[in-house]
Amino acid sequence: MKEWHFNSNPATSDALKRRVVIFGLCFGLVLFGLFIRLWNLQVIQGAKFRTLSEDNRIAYRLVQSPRGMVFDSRGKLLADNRASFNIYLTRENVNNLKQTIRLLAEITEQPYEELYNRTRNANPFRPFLIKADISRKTMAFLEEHKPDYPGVFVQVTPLRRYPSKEQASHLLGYMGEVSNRQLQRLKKRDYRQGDLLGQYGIERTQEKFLRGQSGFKQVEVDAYGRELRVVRPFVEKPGNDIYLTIDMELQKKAEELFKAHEGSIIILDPSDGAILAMVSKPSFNPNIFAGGIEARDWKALMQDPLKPLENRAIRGQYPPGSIFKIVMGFAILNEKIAHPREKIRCHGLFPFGKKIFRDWKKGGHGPIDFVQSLAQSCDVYYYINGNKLGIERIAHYARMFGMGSPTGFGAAEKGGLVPSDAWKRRRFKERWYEGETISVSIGQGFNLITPIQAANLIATVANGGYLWKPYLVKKVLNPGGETLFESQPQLIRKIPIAQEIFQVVREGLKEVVHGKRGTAKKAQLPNILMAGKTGTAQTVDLKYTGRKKKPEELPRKFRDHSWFVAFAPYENPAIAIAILGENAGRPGSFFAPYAKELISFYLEKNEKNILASSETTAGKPLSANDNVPGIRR
Amino acid sequence: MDWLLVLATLLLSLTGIFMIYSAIHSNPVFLKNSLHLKQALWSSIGLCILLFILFFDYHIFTRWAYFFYAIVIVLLIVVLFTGQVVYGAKRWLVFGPLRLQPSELARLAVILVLARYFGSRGEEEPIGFKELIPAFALAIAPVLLIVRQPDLGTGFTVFLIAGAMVLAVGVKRRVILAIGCLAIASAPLGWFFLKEYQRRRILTLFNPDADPLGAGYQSLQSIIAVGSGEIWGKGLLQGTQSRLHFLPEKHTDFIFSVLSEELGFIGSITVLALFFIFILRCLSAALNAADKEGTLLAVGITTAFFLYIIFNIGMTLGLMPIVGIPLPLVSYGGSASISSFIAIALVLNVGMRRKSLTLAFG
Repeated sequence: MKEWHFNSNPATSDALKRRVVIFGLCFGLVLFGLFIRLWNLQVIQGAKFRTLSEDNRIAYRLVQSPRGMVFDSRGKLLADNRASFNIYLTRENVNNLKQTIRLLAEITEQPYEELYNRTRNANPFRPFLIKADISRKTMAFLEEHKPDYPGVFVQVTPLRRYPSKEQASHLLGYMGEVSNRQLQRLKKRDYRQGDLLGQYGIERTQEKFLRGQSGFKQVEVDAYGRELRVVRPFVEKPGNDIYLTIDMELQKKAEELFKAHEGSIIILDPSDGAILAMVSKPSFNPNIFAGGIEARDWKALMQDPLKPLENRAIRGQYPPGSIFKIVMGFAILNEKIAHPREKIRCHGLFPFGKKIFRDWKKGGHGPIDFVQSLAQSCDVYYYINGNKLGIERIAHYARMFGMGSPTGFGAAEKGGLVPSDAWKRRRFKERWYEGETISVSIGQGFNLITPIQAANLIATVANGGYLWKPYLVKKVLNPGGETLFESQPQLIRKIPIAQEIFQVVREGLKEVVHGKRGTAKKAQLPNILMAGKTGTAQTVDLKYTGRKKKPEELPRKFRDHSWFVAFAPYENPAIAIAILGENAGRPGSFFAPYAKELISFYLEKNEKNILASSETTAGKPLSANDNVPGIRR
Repeated sequence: MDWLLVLATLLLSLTGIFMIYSAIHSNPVFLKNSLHLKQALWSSIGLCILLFILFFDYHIFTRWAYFFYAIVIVLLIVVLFTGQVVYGAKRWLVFGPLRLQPSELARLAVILVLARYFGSRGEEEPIGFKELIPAFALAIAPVLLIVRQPDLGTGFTVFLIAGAMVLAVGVKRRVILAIGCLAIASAPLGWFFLKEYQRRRILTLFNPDADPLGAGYQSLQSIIAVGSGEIWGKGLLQGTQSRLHFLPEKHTDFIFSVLSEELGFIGSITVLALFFIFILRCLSAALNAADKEGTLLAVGITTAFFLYIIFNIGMTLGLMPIVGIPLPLVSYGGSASISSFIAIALVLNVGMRRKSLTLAFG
């Protein structure tokens, strides 16, 4: 061993030793540099970095309290919230990105390439939304395979749910992401980009009641943004619950009856204008809007020629046809143009100037009085008396019964049209011709009416002249169950016409259903007296289509609209109904049996209530007082 | 035997085991695998190897230096073809349950081979170009192979170690000047050869806030971790930066950030002081070595430790670009731990054999 030292290795030289010492000094200097840096970071700037690490650790997470629920008048659930599951991915945590994306693309049915590129461009440390609202099955699969796919996680957010799907969709409405324009307006009221708010129907009009309060909770998060624990919670303040005036069973029944038609059914409580059912067909499924509607679905809805999103009940404007004879009746009797028992002779023709106006019935109805003119819907009776009344007086009575202006029920409501000389001059720069008055007299001219106006008209006839503003929201309860708001019926006006005249008109309408020659005998119920009126509104002048064509031979838009309005029981009205079949191509009497079915369904269901209230109001004429206690149930 | 060096080594290893536990306790997978206990096992094995090596004179190792060097070169070539890919680099050789990082051995091989090369050189005269070229060739071969893996950090350190040993031997002034000029001239060229992510890391060093969620994220989060420890630290297991995974690679490359966050300024300067003592004792072994070979061996090893320490700590303090260099004795890692213990054993060996020399003279 010793030989090595002597033979091959000379002892360390002084120069070498000196250099080693220099090394030591250099090393020490550099380590001192690190010491200075540590002093600077930890002692001098320590407090700043402590704050930064707290900022890292604590995240403020937005919490959206659940939206209030919507119920029908009997507490049946119409809209609530469900948990939806969203898949997120934090790229930083993923072991095998390609394999993970392949799996996710497969289970969410997205193209692999696109998803891969989207993911690759995302911030690797922040969770990236792969797909919102996945199915429970997909969720279960992911939960089961969680350990194999690190970086993938599922988060829960509440979404709106409408258990009755397509039913009552127009009145419930739907949710949608807040638009930029809405955000401008709502910024101060706690709305943020990406928030959902009601965009239609009750969801929209009652947004301020329904929306739950949002706020921030403080949570401890890890670097991947995962919540580990709540440092300071946010106490949820859910939205208020809304009870509608709707009777969902009745609504359902109406929806099912009307399944194959387009148009609308409106059912009112004539005693206060509460809406018991409101159907608009075709309808849509509001659930597809809940998590943001897919472009494909939206396009389909927008391009559908039947416009399923349109609420025909309040926005559809149609010629009233013969249901306008109800208004005409009031005008004729109140203006004393004809005595109720005075008969005119109907030959089926009314020559006026160079034109001949025909009755719907060839050969006419013979001698006919007021009641029978309604019962048989005699056109000639109204041609003659309408001509005597003149357009201005007709317009006056139409407006009196709420036509020509929205009922005030909803913001998007249309007003219909009450033609007059002034209107025509404004619209066509042309004077009114008397021949046009004759068409208007049978609801055929320029006049337009919405289904809700028609329903309100028949309800007003039923209750003896109280034109109520139709309403849908019965009451609003806060989450604690206290009443925040309760609807009071609002009277638009009391019709200034004597009860005797109402009685005569009602009798005419009763004869429509129960009379020997009534046009709606199909609507007769064995045990309940009912009053109604049919209407068939032509969409174009007969000149252009000729008379004898079958509806199937005509393009849809040229087919007749069919009306039926009714109330029951005759003595003590509890339900008023208006049915419109849009371009149904049928006589109004076609829908009379629908009304019969709905009325008997509702009255049987409410037998006790109606009997009880009939003792107090039966036979008594209603007073002119705006707040009649007896007429509200 | 230098008991102070041994004590510093043991204290640093113990600190490492504790900090590794703290770094992994929030990660259920790592915790289940008991990485801290594995590290304790590696350290114990390292300690045994250390004791074993002390029985032999370090000259045995320098005598076999060229042979060892050749084996390492072969391993480095093999790893390029069959190595296991981790984080996009081929660094590991797998033999059944054992995994070996040849670049760890390469460092030792270059130190040994250069100590042998310069140690056998008798004259006092500084090195000229002629002598430098074979030394350069010996150093650059493994460096290039390591850079190809790619493991730029390790390659660069090995190159610096070789340079330091050459400086220790003594170089002619004109050689230093020429190399200096060459280095400055080739720096832009080197930039050209760097990969995009490597450039970004270097640029981030000068402006870590430019892209706080991208390249600068790790650096920034590490600085926040260190700084937020303040004077006394957040307490063991209490580091939020660490526990909540804001720190990357926290049980390996960023173990010092965890330590600084949880034990504060007091803790971090204690560890720094332990490293300072460690370095000083190693250099003292070099000073007192029996021969030039021993001095150079100790100087090379000390430089290696020193570079690893400042690169790693510099990285966690945002002073160096982020390169995958562990903190010796403290970071988790079997290959690294065992090679550290072997290196320490060689230094202790150099320190011990001095006595035999004085005895021989006496």
